[in-house]
Amino acid sequence: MICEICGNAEATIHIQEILNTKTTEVHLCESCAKNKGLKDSFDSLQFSFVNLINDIVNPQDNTEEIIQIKCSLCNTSYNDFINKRLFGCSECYNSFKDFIPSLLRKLHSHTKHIGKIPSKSLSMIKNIDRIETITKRLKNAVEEENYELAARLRDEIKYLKDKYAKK
Amino acid sequence: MPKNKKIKYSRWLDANGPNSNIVISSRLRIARNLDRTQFPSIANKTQTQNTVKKINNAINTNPFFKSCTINTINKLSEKTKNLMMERDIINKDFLHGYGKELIIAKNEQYNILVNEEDHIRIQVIRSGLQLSDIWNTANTIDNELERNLNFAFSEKYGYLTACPTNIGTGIRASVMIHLPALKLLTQIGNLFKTIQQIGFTIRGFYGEGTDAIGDIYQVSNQITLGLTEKEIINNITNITNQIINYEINARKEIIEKDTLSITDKVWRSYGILQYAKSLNLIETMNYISDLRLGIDLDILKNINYSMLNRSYILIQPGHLKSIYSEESESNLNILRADIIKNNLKEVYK
Repeated sequence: MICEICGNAEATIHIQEILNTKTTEVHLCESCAKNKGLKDSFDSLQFSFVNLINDIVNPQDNTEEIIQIKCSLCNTSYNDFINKRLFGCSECYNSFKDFIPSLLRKLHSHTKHIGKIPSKSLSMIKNIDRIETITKRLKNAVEEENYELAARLRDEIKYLKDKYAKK
Repeated sequence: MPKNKKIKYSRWLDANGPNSNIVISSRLRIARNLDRTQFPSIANKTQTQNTVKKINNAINTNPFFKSCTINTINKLSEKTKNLMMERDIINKDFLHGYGKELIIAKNEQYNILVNEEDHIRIQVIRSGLQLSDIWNTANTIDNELERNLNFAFSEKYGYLTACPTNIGTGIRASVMIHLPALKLLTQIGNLFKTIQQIGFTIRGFYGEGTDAIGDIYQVSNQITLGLTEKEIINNITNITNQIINYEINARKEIIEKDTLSITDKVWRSYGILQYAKSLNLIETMNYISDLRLGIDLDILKNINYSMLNRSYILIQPGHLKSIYSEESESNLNILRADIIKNNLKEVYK
């Protein structure tokens, strides 16, 4: 069997992942396995495997763009993440939002949190919803050239953002 | 054996939890991070200092944490760090580096690691199978910490962690479980397959993969996102109960099909532990495994699980050196044989 990454050497490493009832297989040669960071311990194996899956199962057309992304807060790059398998800060989850959902689906078979919410965030979440709704209304007001309404809505958004920022 | 060297043991070694004949301990780990703050792997000194300041402040200003002691890892001796590693409180990645703290509650009810892979890791360990109770404790600790800290949280993805394998609930629930009968019946391979197919991980607690020293395994949840915390706890509790049943049936089969064989095995192991002059770590763990089984099958009397649990700790290199004040590596096997003999003797008085 030929290595699925380089397409040249003989595949000597065969990995099978079973997630719920879905089975995925990957076959690679030794040097590609090394390049992908395949180490001996189980934890590294689990995550390197995710890298492999991302490359093989979901080839990225816009890989060039993704590589350019850096976190707006901590400056972690896509490559930093792939090498360390760690993000740099909470803001990374926003900066890299294009590939987060598929990554999480591979790791957890789910992409949405349904568990505990910190009590401070309960009001934040309501606030965010409100800000989003009002922003939409602001957009409409501007399109309809209702500038007086737009000004009032903008003030309200500022008020809500300040209120949340203080907490 | 040095007289009366007093050793404080973690409560969970006392083996008084449910199913502690098979489940040695349950543990829960909750990962939390501060919002909009560099995670430990990339934080510089100033950022780390800030993080530590905020977390220490949250601990010091909250009466809930008044019985906790904050230990700065850098200030601990190599000896103490080794002892903590042997007790499975910290791992070797936590030994070095700036800004790492271990916060221990009274009676080691729980501990909090600061600046491990995440800013905060709450850890609760108890004897036997009691993950629901552990979750209640850990949840309360989380709520108390949250009073004075802003945790990184997103409505979509839940609690944000340095590694995406922990995201969402941020909880890793695991059990440390003793499966000598399944091993004897060569059923461990099948067990591994079954467990891995339903989204859990199982590995030898000491040693790699299916090769578990002392027949001790760890089962933990793999998925942390998309389930509620209670669902995760329920799932792993249910699986553990199933594994317990498999092990119980396997033990029954062994004692019924060939009583002499297992009785002989247990007593031989006891004999070696009682009379050997030199014991290496791996063989000792395996003999202790036989004794654990022997207690459950009523082959050995006047010996209890808590004694054996403590032995796991005592026979490790750091603890031996600490108890006997020995520096020389080459004597360790002799010291080990001595301490085991003395510990078993205690019980038989």
